[in-house]
Amino acid sequence: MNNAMIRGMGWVSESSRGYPGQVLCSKESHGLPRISGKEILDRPHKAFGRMDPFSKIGFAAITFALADAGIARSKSKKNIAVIASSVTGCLETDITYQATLSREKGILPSPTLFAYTLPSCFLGEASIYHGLTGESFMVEEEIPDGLQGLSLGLDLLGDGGCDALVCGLCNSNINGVGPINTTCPEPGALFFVFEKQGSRPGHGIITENRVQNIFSLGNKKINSLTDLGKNILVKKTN
Amino acid sequence: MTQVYIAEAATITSLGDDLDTLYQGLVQGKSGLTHMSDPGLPGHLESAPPRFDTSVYTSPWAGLIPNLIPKELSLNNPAPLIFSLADRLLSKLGPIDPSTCLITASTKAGIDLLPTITRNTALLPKGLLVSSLPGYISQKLGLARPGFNISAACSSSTIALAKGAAMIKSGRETAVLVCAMDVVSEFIFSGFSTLGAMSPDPAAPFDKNRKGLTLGEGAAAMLLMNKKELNTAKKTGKRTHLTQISGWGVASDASHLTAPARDGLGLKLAIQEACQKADISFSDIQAINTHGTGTRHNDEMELTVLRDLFNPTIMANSIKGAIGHTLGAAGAIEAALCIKLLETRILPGTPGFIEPAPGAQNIISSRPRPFGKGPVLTMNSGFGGTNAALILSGVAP
Repeated sequence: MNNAMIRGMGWVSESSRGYPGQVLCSKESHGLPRISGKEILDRPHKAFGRMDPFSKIGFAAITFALADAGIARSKSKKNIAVIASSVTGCLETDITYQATLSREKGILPSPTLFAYTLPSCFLGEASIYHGLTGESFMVEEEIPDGLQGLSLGLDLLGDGGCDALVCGLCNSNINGVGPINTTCPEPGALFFVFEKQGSRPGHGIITENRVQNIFSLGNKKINSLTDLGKNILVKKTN
Repeated sequence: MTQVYIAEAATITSLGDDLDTLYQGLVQGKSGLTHMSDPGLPGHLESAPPRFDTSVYTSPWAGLIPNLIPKELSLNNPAPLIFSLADRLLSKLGPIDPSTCLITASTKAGIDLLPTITRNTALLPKGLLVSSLPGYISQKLGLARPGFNISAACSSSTIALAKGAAMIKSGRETAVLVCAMDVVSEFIFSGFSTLGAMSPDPAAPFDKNRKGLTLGEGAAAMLLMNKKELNTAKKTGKRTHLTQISGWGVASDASHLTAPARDGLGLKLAIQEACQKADISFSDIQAINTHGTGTRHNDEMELTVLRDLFNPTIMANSIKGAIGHTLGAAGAIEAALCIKLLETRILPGTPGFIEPAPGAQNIISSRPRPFGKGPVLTMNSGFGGTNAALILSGVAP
């Protein structure tokens, strides 16, 4: 049995972004919002402006989740791990880079854009900005629930491999590109901050029954990270 | 405490289709690097079909796997090159139990298909997304679960092995198959070229005059098991006990997106964690496979780490001057090679290494060197400031 306290939650979706108690509804009629650095950062951070849209939504959701967890950015480095699950990876960015490559016949593609065609780069950006030295990697799979990444993260947290875990989902908007032979997840990013149980308050305790491969929040069975987020918000509203 | 055994290992690189050939090639100082545009130059492989025009890029060199050609899933439905590589890798393995957990490691998998969709976006082809790779392999092997891919730049497969080992140690799994692979595509080649990271000549890791990296392609599979599973497999004659993954560590620099931390903070943390798990001290390590890309910053950082953590007589090498930097597959190929290191106690030389970079003298050599009894360390670092280290030990008689 694995369990951990959910300390924070942050998201960027087509309709809203933020964290419980601090939600901003989107002005855009469709698509993911354009997020400005000012909106999420406590001081100017040039790198944010350079990021591709995939990295921006992932970085923003992680930043919201850490703010909700009360984990402030500081100069001291923290052993916090970051694990993100994705079905799409940064396909939109890949397509943009490929277009520049085709247009310029390979001569002048953007080096910055190329760096962001590695989907895990936004985890590095979040690690740099927030001073996180724990493990960071992407879990890419066709199942869009994000629970494999959560299992790996809870094992790591339980084993003492990190002091806290940031774990979530990040998916590009690939609907504009065309259908694909896989379950197309909702575009956006959703991250949680988990810690071992202690005295600090949180959004509840996530439990993983490893034998039955079942996750639950209290008595409620959780089918995906999105489901977990919805349950937390419903609990808050009630 | 649960031990993690490597029951089977296979590699495919530009130096051959098996681990023994790769190891022997490295010991003999062979190079698998190919001049991609000039058949008249040494190293050109006639059997390797031209991939793309390299004349606009900063290097014509790459470590290409001979006779690796894309296949068609069905008529006019091309598969990515990586599916051909996966097929070839899987053909090297013995039977895999359907209950085995699959972890793949790849950075961009089927990205070579992308030009086909920018011309016609009616349907994204199967295999374009990295997330489709584990499903493809799982289906091929008849596994009960689809598996998942770990992506963390050039540390991808080192982390995949670390996660596989952790899953076995924690009792979550009894057998984990890690399949790591990446291919040379114009997408990746152009990117490293535009970053100014590629050497115009074959990579020369740790050499004073190194000019950057050379890309390569390759694949590796490693079947990890706990002792009970391994004993069952041994009784049926399917597997032999090759070695153990006794320690693993993963950490981030939190420093820079595309350059390593100058002080090697993340790599030091990863090595420290790996040694703690293996219950050994730094001085117990007998030989080290470095990431050794041939870029100025990476090699400098690794030499700093070697100097700060290990005694001055430590032996280390890099194989990327022979097979190129195989990106997401590099860690698993190099970990598989560590099995041969433990078996022979001979560390291959570092191809391209002629004049030592500051601090590389004695640690790095162009020639193979014998080393003492004890564990070996292999380590990788990548974009995003990711670092991972594995300690392998204990070869069975």
